[in-house]
Amino acid sequence: MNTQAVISCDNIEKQYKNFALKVDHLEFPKGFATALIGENGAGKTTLLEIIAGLRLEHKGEVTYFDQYNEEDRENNPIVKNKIGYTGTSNYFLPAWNLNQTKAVQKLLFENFDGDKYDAILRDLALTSGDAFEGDKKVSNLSDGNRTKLMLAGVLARDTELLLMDEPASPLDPLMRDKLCNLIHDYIASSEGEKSVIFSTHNIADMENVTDYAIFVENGRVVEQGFVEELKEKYIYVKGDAEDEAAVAPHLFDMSKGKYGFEGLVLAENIDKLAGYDLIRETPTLMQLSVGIMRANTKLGAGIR
Amino acid sequence: MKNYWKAYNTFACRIYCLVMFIAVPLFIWGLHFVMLQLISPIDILNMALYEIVFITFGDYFTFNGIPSKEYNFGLLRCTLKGREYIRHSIIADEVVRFLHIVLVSVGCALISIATVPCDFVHEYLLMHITLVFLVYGASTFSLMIARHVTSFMSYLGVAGLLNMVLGVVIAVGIGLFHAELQLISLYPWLIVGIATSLILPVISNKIIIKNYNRCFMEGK
Amino acid sequence: MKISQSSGIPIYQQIADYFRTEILEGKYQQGEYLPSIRGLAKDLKISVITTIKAYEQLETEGLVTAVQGKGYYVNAQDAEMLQEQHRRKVEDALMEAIKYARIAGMSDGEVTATLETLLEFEEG
Repeated sequence: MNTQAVISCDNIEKQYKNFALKVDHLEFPKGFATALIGENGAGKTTLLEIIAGLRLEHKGEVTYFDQYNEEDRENNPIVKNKIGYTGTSNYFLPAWNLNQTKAVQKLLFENFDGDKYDAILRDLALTSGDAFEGDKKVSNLSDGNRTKLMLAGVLARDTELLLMDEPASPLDPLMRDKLCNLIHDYIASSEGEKSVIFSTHNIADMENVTDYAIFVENGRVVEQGFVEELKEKYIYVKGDAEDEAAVAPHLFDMSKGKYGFEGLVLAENIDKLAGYDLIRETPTLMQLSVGIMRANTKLGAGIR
Repeated sequence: MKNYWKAYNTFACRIYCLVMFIAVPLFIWGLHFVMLQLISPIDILNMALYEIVFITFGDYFTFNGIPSKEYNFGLLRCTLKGREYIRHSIIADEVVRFLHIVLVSVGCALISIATVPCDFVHEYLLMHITLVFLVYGASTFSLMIARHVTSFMSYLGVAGLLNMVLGVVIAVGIGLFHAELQLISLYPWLIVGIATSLILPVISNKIIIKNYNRCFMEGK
Repeated sequence: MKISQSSGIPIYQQIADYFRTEILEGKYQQGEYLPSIRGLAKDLKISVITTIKAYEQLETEGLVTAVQGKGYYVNAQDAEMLQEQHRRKVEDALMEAIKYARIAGMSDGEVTATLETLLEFEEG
């Protein structure tokens, strides 16, 4: 598919003590929602923070909206104004209460709409308009409510790109559904100008809003593509235990059980499995993710 | 100017301001009024110590942790205005703190003049001025250290110890050597006060801004 | 429109089927635009890329035309042209069948016999 890139990364490298992030070239499609999927410690947060400009020490270049580099990001307010970032911890200062988050964001962001912020907070059931609630300290909020507060903050601004680090994790099922709606609304509020990039472990919950998936393992991008294309690239097969040994070499990934096996096979290899009694299915994003992650993981197969 | 105040207000909430600018001065003035009857205008020394204690205690609810490594500045890093915002807040804090000390000191002086006019000699005027600077320097110094401590109990310990040491220095230095024994004049103390009041806030700012820059750099 | 997540039919297919029927039934006029991609994705709570895939399928079928930046508009639905299209599809499918027949070593008589049997099944 022909798409423009909202963010492109080239030769990104960041070295930690026992982990290195290394991304040769990566493009996030403009006008779509992109999910960063991978194990804990795979490098998703680091990558998001580099893009958001929270980690300045790294090699390589990030290009924003096809026209700005990182130097522009640090000098031209337009770049950071167009980006809404939500992180996982220490997002709000410990001294702030609910009222102050509004005052602060008004000060910090030119395009922050205070009334919209209040409306979103009410919509997310964070405030009921009661003046006394405003004195509640942000550090005393639950993780879920703090996430709602961050979401309200970025949505109350006029941005073109949302970068969200694990937005779904602390949320309850109902609120995850709401999060998907918020992302849909955001993407649909312009025809192709607004993009969302988020990392997530809650793949099944976010499947309906994921257009493009990037799989990160051990600091490397191991697979990426539009979800519909990935669903054609891989086929999910299930078979009986007796075929396991014969089929195994052709499978991309396999998980074995007592009665049979299941796993991903590349569509191009499906002909090689013609003679076996297999069930073929279009994989869900969850099945794709687990298969791709397992094929690249350092995790063991389990102790039996 | 307005931005400085706005930025400061995002650290100092309304309750903090009410307590700090109304309750605390009234308390100190009231105490001073009572003590004045018992001792003399030299009681201002005690009030200076209370002032340091209140300032350091109040700071726990506003700028605590700001020079420490755990402070990650989160949201501020998402905008180019973050550094300016931090700078505005801490400068406003320094000005406000100084004004607070002046306010309390002037109030105490007026109370002294009103109640025991003949005791309030020109000597006390100089002492008030000296103490304003000394209290400001001392509070800045103790905050520079105590702000690193973020857990409440440890903070009370560290801040309390610092306040005690500084309090003893002021009490012994001015109270004993100057007022009681008349060994040294007030002028060296005035000079020390002014010098620390000028230098320490600048250093304190530098440390905080450096910490802000650091939070972009360090890996996890 | 009802979308089933677990019917076994891919979601994009369900959407394409829906709009194909709508278009063929004349509910969309010639030149009229289909709902915007992102608006439809939002309303159906599905991903944008799934919607695009559905629309692209309709485009390859010749039912709609894509305009960069504007969306997909409905083509003139010429009855004769549609028939022609379907006829071509039948030919394609039969060609495929013949290909496999050759691999399997079936004679022409067997192929026609199979076809006739299948037709009878379908009618019966």
